[in-house]
Amino acid sequence: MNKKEFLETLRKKLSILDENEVNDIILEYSNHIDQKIKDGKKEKEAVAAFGDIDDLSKEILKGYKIADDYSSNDLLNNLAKFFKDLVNSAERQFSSFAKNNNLDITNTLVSILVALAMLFAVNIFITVLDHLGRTALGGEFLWGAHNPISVIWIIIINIVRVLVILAIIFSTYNSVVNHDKKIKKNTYKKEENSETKTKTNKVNDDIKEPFVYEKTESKDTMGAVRIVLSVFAALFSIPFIFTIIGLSIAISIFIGLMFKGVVFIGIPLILLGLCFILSSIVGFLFDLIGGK
Amino acid sequence: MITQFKKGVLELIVLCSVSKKDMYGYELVNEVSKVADVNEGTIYPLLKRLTNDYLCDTYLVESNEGPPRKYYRITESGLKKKDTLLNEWRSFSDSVNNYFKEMITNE
Repeated sequence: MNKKEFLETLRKKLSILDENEVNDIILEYSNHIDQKIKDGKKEKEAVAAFGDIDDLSKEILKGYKIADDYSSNDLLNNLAKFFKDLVNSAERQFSSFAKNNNLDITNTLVSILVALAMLFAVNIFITVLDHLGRTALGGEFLWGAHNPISVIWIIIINIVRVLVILAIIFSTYNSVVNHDKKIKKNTYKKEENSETKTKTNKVNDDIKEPFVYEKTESKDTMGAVRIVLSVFAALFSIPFIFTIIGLSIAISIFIGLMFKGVVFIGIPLILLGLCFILSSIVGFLFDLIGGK
Repeated sequence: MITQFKKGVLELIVLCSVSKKDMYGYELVNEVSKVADVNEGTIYPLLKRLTNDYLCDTYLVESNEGPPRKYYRITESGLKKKDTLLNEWRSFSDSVNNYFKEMITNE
C-alpha cells in the first residue's frame, strides 16, 4: 500500500470517531511516514512497518473504550459473525473431544463417510425388503391400516431399519474412539513430523501416550473440522447459485421483451431484488468458508 | 514469546522516555526501539491510550518544513503511574530473576 491508500483506509476504519480526532490521528501517521521517508525508507516500507491495518485500527479504537468488535449494523455481517463463533466453538469442542478420546482424525472422517455410505446402501436394501414383504403379504390390494398384517409388517420393517442404523452408528463410534493400539502405531509413523522427542518403545506400559500426539493432533482436528464445514457450506450454496443464474436469465428475457415493446417493470424488478438477496446469502456462506 | 514480554513493559518504557523530555511520535518510536524492537503499529495506539487516560498530554509545534508536529508531554498522573509501574517492574523482575538463578545453580 502506498501512503495515500493507507491513510484513506485508516480514515475509513476509524470513521466511528469524531472527525477532529480522526484528522488528528491521520496527521500524526502522515508525519511519521514522511519522517521515515526523509530518513531514507521507501514509502511502501514505511507503510508496511505499521503492520496489518485492521489490527492497527482495532488497537487505536481500544484507546477510546469502544466495544472491541464494533462493526456496522449490517445484519448479514452480524449473522456471519455469530456463525463463525458457533463454528469456532464447535471446533474447540470437537478437538477437545478428539484429544480426550484419542481420535485419529483422518481415520475418523473416513469412518464417518463409510458409515454414511453404508447407511444409504442399507436403507435401499431395507426398502426393497419392505416392498417384497408387502407383495408377499397380499400386495397393494390388501394394504392399509385396516389390515392387521400390514400394520405388523410396517412395525417390523421399521424396527429392523432403526436397529440396523443404530448398529452401524454404534460400530463406527467404537471403531473410531478409544482404539489404543491402532493409535500407537500411528504416532510412531508421525514421529518424523512431530516436534516431540522420541519415546522408548513402551507399548505395554500404562504411560499416557496422549502426550505424544497432543501437539500433532490439534492442528489436524481444527483443519479437518474446517474442511468438513466448508464442504457443507459449499454444498448448501449450490442451489442458491443456480437460482441466481436462473433469475438472471429470466431478467434478461424480460429486458429482451422490453426492447420488443412488451414492457414489464414490476416482475423483473422483483427478480432483481431476489437476485441481490440470494447473492448476499451466497456471499455470506463463502465468507463463512474463508474467514476465521 | 518476546512479544509478550514487550507488551507488558512497553507502557513503562514510553512513560519513562516521555518523562525525560517531551518528544514527538517519530522521536519516541526511535527512543523506545533502543530498548526493544517495536513496530509503529503498537506505539501510536499506546500513545493514544495514554493521552486519553490523561497520563500524557499533547501540544502542537509549528514547523517550517511541513505540517505541525504533535509533541507528547507527561502529566502529574503520568509521573505517578510511571513510579508505580517502575516499582512493580522492579519487584517482579527481581523475584523472577531470583527464581532463574535458583534454576541455574540447580542444573
